[in-house]
Amino acid sequence: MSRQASPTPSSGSDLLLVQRTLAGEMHAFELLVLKYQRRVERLVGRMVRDVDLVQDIAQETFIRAYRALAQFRGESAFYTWLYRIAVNTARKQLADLRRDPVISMSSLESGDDDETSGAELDLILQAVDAETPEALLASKEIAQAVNEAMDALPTELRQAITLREIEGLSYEAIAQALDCPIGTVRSRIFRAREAISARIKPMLESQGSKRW
Amino acid sequence: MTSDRRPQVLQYMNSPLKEKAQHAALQDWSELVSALVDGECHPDELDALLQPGPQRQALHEAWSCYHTLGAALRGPVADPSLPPSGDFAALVMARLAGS
Repeated sequence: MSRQASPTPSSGSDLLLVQRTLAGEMHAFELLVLKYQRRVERLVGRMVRDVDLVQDIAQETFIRAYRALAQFRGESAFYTWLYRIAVNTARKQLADLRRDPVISMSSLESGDDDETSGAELDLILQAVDAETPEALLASKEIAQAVNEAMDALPTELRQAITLREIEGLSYEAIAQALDCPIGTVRSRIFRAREAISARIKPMLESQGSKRW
Repeated sequence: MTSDRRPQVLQYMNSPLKEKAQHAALQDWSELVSALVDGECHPDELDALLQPGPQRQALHEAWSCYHTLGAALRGPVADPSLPPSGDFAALVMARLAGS
């Protein structure tokens, strides 16, 4: 089974949540913060080594994103837009503090382009630095548990979650591929996620209280 | 949809039945969250998910867990497969509420 990286296949939910935030539902924005917190922290952590400053800049990134949300037109992926705000926020904070970035801003600005996908941005990040050893280990342990849980899934659940998460297909496309109703696809993907979640929840609970 | 009516029904149930119904309601919520992760939930389902209530913590946990496992499946190049830290989003939301 191919487990290569593909673009995050959930940008549809981002747009939905942006629209709901703009309609005044703050909780929708909270879901975006929960989703992108680690990616923004990782990005900022490439520029700044001070853990507290990373947290401040990451928070400020989301505050600025919220205030500028009406300008997000959905022409690029939400993360691409957020990425640019994070880089600019970090640059400004470092300038205010008269500190130099850990790495050249130009290496991050190569992703400062509407055509650059979230996956390409992650490749840029991977090229400029590695995770902290602790974060890398935790991430590997979670990945291993997820893959073991995948192997233990019944075939129909494994097929559905693979087509969704790895291949990035819509429910409709998966329904066609597996020759079953869309409702069945939705239910199978949910059941697969629940089965995998049951295995990794204890690990997530212990990791969720940590900062990297 | 029945899940958004369940909390009102729960108050008339005895304890074991109530526990069972609460579990079923949480399952329904989690299935909606799963569909939202994929951008495949209907507007009225999203309305139900965004309602304030006791299910919010479960929603956050399922939302974070599903994104984390998705990241792990897509491999190390994708977003980091670590769960969000508990208080980060709450701090951002508190700052926004205070500004």
